[in-house]
Amino acid sequence: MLFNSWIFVGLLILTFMCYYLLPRLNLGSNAQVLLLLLASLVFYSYETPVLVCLLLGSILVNYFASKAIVLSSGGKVGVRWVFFVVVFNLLVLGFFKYGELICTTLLPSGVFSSELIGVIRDIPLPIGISFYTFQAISLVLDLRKRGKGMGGMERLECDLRAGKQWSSFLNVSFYIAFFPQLIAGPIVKAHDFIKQISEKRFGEIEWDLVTRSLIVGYFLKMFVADNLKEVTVLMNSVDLVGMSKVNLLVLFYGYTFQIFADFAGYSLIAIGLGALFGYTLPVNFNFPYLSRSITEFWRRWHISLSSWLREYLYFPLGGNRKGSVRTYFNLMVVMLLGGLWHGAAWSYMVWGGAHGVILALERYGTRFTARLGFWESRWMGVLKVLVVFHIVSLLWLLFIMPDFTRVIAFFEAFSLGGWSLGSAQHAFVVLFYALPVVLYHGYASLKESGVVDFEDTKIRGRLEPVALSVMMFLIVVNSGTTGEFIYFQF
Amino acid sequence: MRLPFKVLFITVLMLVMYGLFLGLSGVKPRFAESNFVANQMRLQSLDALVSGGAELGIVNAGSSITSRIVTERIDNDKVNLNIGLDGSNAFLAANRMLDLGVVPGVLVIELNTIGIDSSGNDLLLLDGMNSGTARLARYFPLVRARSRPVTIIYSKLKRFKDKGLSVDLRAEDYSGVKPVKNYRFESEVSGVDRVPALDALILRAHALSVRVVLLMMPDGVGRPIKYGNVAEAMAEKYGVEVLDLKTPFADKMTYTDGLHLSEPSAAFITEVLSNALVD
Repeated sequence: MLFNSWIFVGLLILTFMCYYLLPRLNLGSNAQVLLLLLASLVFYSYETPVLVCLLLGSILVNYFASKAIVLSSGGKVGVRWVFFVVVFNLLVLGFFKYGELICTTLLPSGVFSSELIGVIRDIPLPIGISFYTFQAISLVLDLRKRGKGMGGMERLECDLRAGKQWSSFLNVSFYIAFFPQLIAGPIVKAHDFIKQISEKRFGEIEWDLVTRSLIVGYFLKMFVADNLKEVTVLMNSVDLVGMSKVNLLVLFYGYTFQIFADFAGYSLIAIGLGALFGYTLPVNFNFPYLSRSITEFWRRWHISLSSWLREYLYFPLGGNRKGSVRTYFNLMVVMLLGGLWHGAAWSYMVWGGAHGVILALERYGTRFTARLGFWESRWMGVLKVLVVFHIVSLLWLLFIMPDFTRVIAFFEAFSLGGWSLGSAQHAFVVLFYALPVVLYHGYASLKESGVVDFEDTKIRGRLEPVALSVMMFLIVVNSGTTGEFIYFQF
Repeated sequence: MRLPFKVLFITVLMLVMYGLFLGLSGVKPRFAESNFVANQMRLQSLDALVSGGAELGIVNAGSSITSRIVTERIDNDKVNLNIGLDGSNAFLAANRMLDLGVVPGVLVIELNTIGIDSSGNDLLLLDGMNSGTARLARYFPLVRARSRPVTIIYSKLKRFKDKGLSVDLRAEDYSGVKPVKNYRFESEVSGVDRVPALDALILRAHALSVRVVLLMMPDGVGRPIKYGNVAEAMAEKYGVEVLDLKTPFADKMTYTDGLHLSEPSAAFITEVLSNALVD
C-alpha cells in the first residue's frame, strides 16, 4: 500500500480514530499495539497478501530467538542463538534478494539447472525485506548486548523472562512491523524503539511535528519527485545517443534531485505518521547536498542505514581502533555491503565500493589538508559542496541505470552530443520542480551558517504556516503521477 | 494544535482564490510540461464531457502531431474535441472514447503515427483514469491537469516562444482541400502495409455509424508520407475518407522542432480541417 494512495488514507483515518478511542475503554497499551500491528499487516499485505506469511515467519523466528537469548542469561547458548538468528535473517534476505545473482554469477555453471534458476528469478522480492531484516537483527543484537550497558530493552527483557508471552510477542511483532517504517525505513534500532511502547493519549500528539513532517514529506514526494520522474524516466526508456549534452545534463541533475525528494519525502512521511501514533522515528536526512565531503554525506544521507552499519558492522569489525590498514579495510567492507544491501546487481556494489574508496581517500588526505590554511575557507567550502554534489550525482547513475551498458551508453551519448538546448520541455521540468529542493537546501545552509535565525519564534510563526500552506496547495493542484517510492525496490 | 488549523485555513483560502482566478480569467493551458500531463489533460476533458452528457461533433485522435490542432475552435454548433496523445497514437484514446459510450459525428484518425507502439506511460495513464483522483477530477475542475499552475506557466511560455513562427497563408489556399473517398497512394510504398488496430478501430466506429476520416498531418519538411498504402487499403476495404494535408502544406508550415506545428500553423490547419469537414 502506498502512502500516497486513497486506500491508505482510509486505513489511516480508521486506525487513528480507533487507536485513541482504546485508552478510553481502559483496555491497556497492548490493545493499542495490537491495533497498530493489525493495521501494519493490512498495510503490508494489501498488494500481495502472501508476503505477510514471510513477515510473520520472520517475526516468529526472531521472537523465539529473542526469548532464548534472554533466558540464556549471556551464556554460550545465547551466543549460539544470536549466531543462528543473524544467519537465518541474512539467509532469508540472501535467498529472496541475491538468489539469482548467486546462482548465475557466483556459483559455477551447472550447479543449478536453468529451470531452477528461472524459478528463483521469478520469485518476487518481498517489499521492505531489507529494512525489516535489519531491524530484526538489531533486536537480537541489542538483547545480546543488554549486559554491556545497552539500555532501552529492559521492559521487553522482563516480559520475556517473566513468561509474559502475549505482551512480549506483541512488542516484538510491533517493532518489526510498525507500518510507517516497515517498507522503506527509517531503520529503527530496537533499543531506540521498544522503550517507547506504552499507552498513548490523544492529548500527547505533537501536532506541529506531525503537520510539518507530513506536509513537507508529501510535497517532496508528490510535487517534486513524481513530477521529475516524468523526465528522468527517459534515462531508461529511450535511446540516449542523439541527445544533446545539455539534455543529458538535465536528466542527470533531475535524477539527483528526484532521488533525494523521493526518499527524504518518504522518511518525513514515516516520521510524521510515527508521531501521529506517539512514536519518535529517527531523522533520516539532514540536507545531504550541503555535504563538504563524502564522509559528511554519509552523516546526512540515509542516516538510519549508516548509523545501523556503523553500530552493528563497523564497530564490531574493530572500527578505527585497530590501526589504519584495518580501518580502511573495515570502511571498504561496510561500504561494499552497504552497496549490496541496495540490490542484487554489481552496479550497487560498484556504487558502494566507489563511496568506500572515496571515504578511505578522504581519511588518508586529512593528514595533508590539515596543514593547508585555505582548506577550511568559505570559498573552499562552496567548492567542496559542488564537488561532492557532482561525485554523488555521478554515482547515482548506477542507481537509475543498474545495467552497466546503459551507463556506458550515457557517457558515449554525452561525448557525442552537441551543446544545443535539446528539449526545452525537459529543462523546464527539471528547473521548476528541482527548485524546491535547492531552496530547501539553501534554507538549511542559511540556518547552519547562522545568517538567519529561523528558530526565532516570531519569524517562524509567520513564515511557517504560509510556506506549509503553499506546499499543501501545490500537493492538491499540481501533484505528479502517483508512483512507488524509489527505495521500495531495495 | 494551532499550526495545523492555520495551515488548513490558509490552504483552503488559496484554493478558493485560485479557483476564482481560473474561473474568472478562463485560463486554459494548451501545452503541458510533460507528455503525461498533456495526455491527462485531454483524457480528462473527454471524461468531463462524458459526465456532462455533451454531444460530440468532430474528434481528432492521434499523437502530439495531432494534439496541436485546436479542434475546439471548429465551428459546427457541436462540442469538438482533440484527444491526440503526445508520444502515442490514435488507438488508446479513440478506443477509450468508444468504451465510455461516446459516439462522435466524425472520428479523425491521424495516420502519421499509427505504426508506433503505445508506451508504458500511456497504459499507466489509462489505468490512472479509473483511480479515485481521476474520478474526483471529473467533478472538481481544480484538481484537473488543466488547473496545474506549473502547466499554465509552461503553456504561456511556450505560446510566447511560438509567436514568431507565423505562416503566410489565406483561406483561398485551402478552399479546395477536401477528404477523398477513393484515395490512391502514388508514391513508393514503404514499411508496414497493414495495421490491425486500425482495422479494428474503423470497424468499431462504423458499427456505431461514425464517419471516419484518415488524416495525413504535416510533420516536417522532407519526410516521406508513411502509411499511404495503408490509407489506400482502408479506403478500398471500408470506404473511409482520406484527407491529405501533408502534401499541400508540409513545406508551407512552421515547426517548433522540425516535427510539431507551431501555434500559427496549427491554427491554420484547424481552419483547413474546419473547411474540409464541416458541410
